[in-house]
Amino acid sequence: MNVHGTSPAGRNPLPALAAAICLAAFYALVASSVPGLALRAFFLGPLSSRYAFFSLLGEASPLLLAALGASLAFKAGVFNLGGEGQAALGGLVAALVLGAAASRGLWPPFAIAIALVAAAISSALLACLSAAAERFAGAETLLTSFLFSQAVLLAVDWAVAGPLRDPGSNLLAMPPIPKHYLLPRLAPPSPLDGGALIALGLALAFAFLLGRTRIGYELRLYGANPLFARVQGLSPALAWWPLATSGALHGLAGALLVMGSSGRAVKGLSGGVAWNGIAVALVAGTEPLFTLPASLFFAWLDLGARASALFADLSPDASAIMKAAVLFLVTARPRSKPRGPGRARKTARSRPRAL
Amino acid sequence: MQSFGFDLFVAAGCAAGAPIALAALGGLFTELSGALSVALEGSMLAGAFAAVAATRITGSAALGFAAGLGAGLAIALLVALCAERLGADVFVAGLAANILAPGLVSVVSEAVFKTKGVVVVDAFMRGPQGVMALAKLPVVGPALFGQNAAFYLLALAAALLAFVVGATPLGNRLRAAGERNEAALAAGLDRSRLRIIAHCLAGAAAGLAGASLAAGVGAFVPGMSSGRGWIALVAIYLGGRRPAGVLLASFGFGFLIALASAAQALKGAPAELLLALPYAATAIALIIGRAARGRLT
Amino acid sequence: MELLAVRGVSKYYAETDTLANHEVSLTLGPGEIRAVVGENGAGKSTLARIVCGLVAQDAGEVLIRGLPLPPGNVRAAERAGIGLVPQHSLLAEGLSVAEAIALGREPRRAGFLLDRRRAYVEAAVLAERFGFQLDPAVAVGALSPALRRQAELMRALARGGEVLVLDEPTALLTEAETAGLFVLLRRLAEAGKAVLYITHRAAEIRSLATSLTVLRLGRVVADRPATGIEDCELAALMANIDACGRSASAENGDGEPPITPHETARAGDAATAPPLLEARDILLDGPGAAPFSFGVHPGEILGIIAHAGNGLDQLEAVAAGLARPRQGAFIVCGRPISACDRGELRSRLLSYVPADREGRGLALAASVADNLLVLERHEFGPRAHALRRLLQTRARELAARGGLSAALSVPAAALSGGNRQRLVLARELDSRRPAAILVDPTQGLDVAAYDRAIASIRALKQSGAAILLLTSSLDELLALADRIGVLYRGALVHLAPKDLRLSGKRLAALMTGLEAA
Repeated sequence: MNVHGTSPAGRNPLPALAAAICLAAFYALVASSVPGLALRAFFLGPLSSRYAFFSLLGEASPLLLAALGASLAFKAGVFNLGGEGQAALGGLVAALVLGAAASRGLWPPFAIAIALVAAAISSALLACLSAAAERFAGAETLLTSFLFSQAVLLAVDWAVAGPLRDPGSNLLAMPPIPKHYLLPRLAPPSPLDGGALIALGLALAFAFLLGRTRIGYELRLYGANPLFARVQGLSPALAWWPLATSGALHGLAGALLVMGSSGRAVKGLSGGVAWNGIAVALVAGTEPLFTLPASLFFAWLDLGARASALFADLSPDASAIMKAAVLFLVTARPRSKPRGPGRARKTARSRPRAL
Repeated sequence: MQSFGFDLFVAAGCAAGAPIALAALGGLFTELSGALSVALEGSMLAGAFAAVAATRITGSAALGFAAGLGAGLAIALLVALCAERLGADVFVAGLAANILAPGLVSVVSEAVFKTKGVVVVDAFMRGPQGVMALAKLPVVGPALFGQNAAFYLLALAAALLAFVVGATPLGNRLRAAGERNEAALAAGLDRSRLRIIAHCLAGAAAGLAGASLAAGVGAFVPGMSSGRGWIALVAIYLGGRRPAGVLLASFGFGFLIALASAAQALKGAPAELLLALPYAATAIALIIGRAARGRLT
Repeated sequence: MELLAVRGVSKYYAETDTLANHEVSLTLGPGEIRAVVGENGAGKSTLARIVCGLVAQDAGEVLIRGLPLPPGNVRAAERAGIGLVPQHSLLAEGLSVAEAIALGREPRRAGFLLDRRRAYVEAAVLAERFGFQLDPAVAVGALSPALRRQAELMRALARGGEVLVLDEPTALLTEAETAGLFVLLRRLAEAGKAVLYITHRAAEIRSLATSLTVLRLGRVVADRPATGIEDCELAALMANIDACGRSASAENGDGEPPITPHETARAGDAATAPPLLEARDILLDGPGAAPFSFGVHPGEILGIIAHAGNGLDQLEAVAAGLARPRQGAFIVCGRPISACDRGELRSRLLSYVPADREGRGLALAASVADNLLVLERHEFGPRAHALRRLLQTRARELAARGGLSAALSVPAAALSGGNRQRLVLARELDSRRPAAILVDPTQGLDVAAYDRAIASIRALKQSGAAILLLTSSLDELLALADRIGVLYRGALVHLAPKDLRLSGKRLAALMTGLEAA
């Protein structure tokens, strides 16, 4: 399997999005006894009020960060399937830092900043394990990132529901973090918090980094064709960047999940944010700026499904089916001719021992 | 597990390894044919649920297993058609299947059983009585004869798959389809069709593996595949894409799970933390394996 | 009646904008061994693939015993008795020889089981009958190049091949192995098989072929019996060279200007300066390889020419620092290339136009501007955004210099083959780097772009750069090189200043092994 250097960027996402919306409508019509109500709840629910709209933005923020992380890795031709574990680790670290800060009475803005940085760094290090495995042993990042992440995921779950568990609660969760050590709410009573600004800022920053700076330029070239990058003398150290940054962004996503409205680290806190992030990144064609609308779309599907479950009789998990439909179709490109000899490029030239 | 014995440990390892081995053998078809088998996880979960649902509804475990197999196959077929007929990226389509399976299961479960949670079924059967007597043999007794029916079904299916790879023209043709040159084209083989067949075989195997997971627990638990499909994918690479190696890697992981479970019985052992060890150990094994391979070439 | 007839076959590849075959016709009878010869890119392989149904022709037809074959249908061609021994193996690496031969039509037991034993026996019987020294139980991936050829031949024969099409089968074979293969082929011809033998090694024709088709730029330029053909005549036919040895197209106007005394004087100066590019005792892989050395001085173009499969691609990889030779070292500006920092090497010292444009020379997914500026990325500082206009200006400047008219923001993948080549040239032909390795630099260019590229390369030389030109085209070589080397089977069989008395005909003879140096 040679998965390096092939970036499965989505082509034109609009047909796939349309298909998902049609599927949602079809599902509402077939499965609901009150299809009109269900449809309205599904499509307009998330936009029906200020509260609902701000919730949508809040819901989209961690997803946006995870999607940024995924698209950055894809852009550089790297597969990071360890986002779930990286997010869980980030969440745990943020909770630990804030818990310790609160007990020492640290200045909250400072504590929050430390927590975010610590979360990002710890997850970046986790992701770098895979980069090292690829660099020094040639082990596929696709596999090692998943394995490391899965181990960390289980370890975090154990920690959260075991030694670190809040004894005073019947939730499988750590003790709640004091309110003033959480990200500030931007529009109470909605759950929208400062995380949205962080996510938005980072999305813009990464769009800038990739599009306008030398390191971003080199990363793009590396992702477009690693052999070309080597021939043109780009630094091999570039290979560390995509995974480290991707890990850091996933760690921040996890931290946001903990420092937002829930205010505590719960068992299974990552809750699929990284898998959804990958889907969002692919729908956005791995372009950082396009992850903004794409993550809003996915959050909208989630909230719409939840609203239709609340007001009508549909399942909130139906959104997963819509997301899958988008993902199934987003890279499709119907062809007239049958495929030639695989994706193998013609490199007929014999080479003496490669360095 | 009140009294921990070595024979029971071997039995537990086999039981944990068997579903992974079956899914991995199935996935081996896809890998040999040159496509990625990312959707094993989704096929497994769908298979587990379909098996429980069908057994609950019909009361027949046999029909349950058949439904599990069918569900896994359906998921894989969806991936195969998207990839081979619509030109979608096979990795992305596989991810889509892994997102689809839990969502679909939850929606159907709520519609049929009015719950999104655990669905219990008690119709899964134990092994035949005659065999049970042999389970008293030392060491291998419980491993070979003390398992439930699902285990034997898996063994049968795994043997069938290994047989197909090794003893029928299909095995050779799939291998040729996965080659980088035009061997398949020159032999007049339809690569795309071969890949679809490979996806379907992998899906069916993973579905059956999922069904046996559910049978082992006697219930469907959301997320019960818990990464085993991915582990199966790792086992394919760890096993060097050869049936024997794949089986070895799968059962190796199974025994790690059994070891972790057994260690949980010790007093004060951090139960869930131990469950993380098999994944870390597999990652390390993969890295060591790759490093060794790199030194050879 | 002839076994095989090709009538007026044409094939156009839109992707690369090349007319690979143009109204090609030939016939082949039982017992005949027809050599199809021509330079690289003459359309030989395309013809072979059309005959075998791997490629569908645009016009014309292929007839077997007078019956036309459906175009692009492998199975029909195979049923009609055409067997291909291609340049790139058609055997599945992971299978045993017997299994790979039987692929797609496996013998079966009980209707659905693979009958390995029978596949093995059938292959062994075949090997015995025609004298192959090959164990059918061995894995294809483990075969040597010579045994692999045998396996391919067996595959073709096992499929009832009456017409055997061999596409440059001796590229990786030693002399002895080649001789062994020829014995086999003659035996097959005596058994009534017809052989279509594609090669650019003219030396092989005399010992094997009974008839001869010469292709040039996709057209048949000669069709005659192979007996009694003179070496020089053959070389002239292949290379399109007239009696005085100048390239014919060079005489048509786009060739070199007459050498001026000024230039000769410069070349004289150059020889005294230390070489900027140097090969020291380099040994390549391959059966005939021998160590060689050369140096390229400032203000000089050393052109090394070879047909495909003679080690030019290996020399390219070594000279670009992408591979290590079996022994020896390649020196750039006094330092072994393996000891250079690659980033500095490429941006400060060495221009490199690779043969593999798409793999090494371009990042197709990135934009034209991104591709143009890759060697100058450091010069704009880490915050190039502030200088965005400057970047654009510089990219436009480079593009203009290379005659590249495409929009700068489109991905390089959107460019045609010719424009891709212009892009690479625009980036690389820059005097700020003192040394250059150019591989087939004008391949795929139209007339205007060809002239411009030749002029830019000469200008680069005038500015004092040391240029190593690796090429498979005599035109390009004669238009540019000051000194000429010929690589044949991994050995540098000729190295001397360009001399009009050394005719193109003789070079062509050296390249095809007709003449030892």
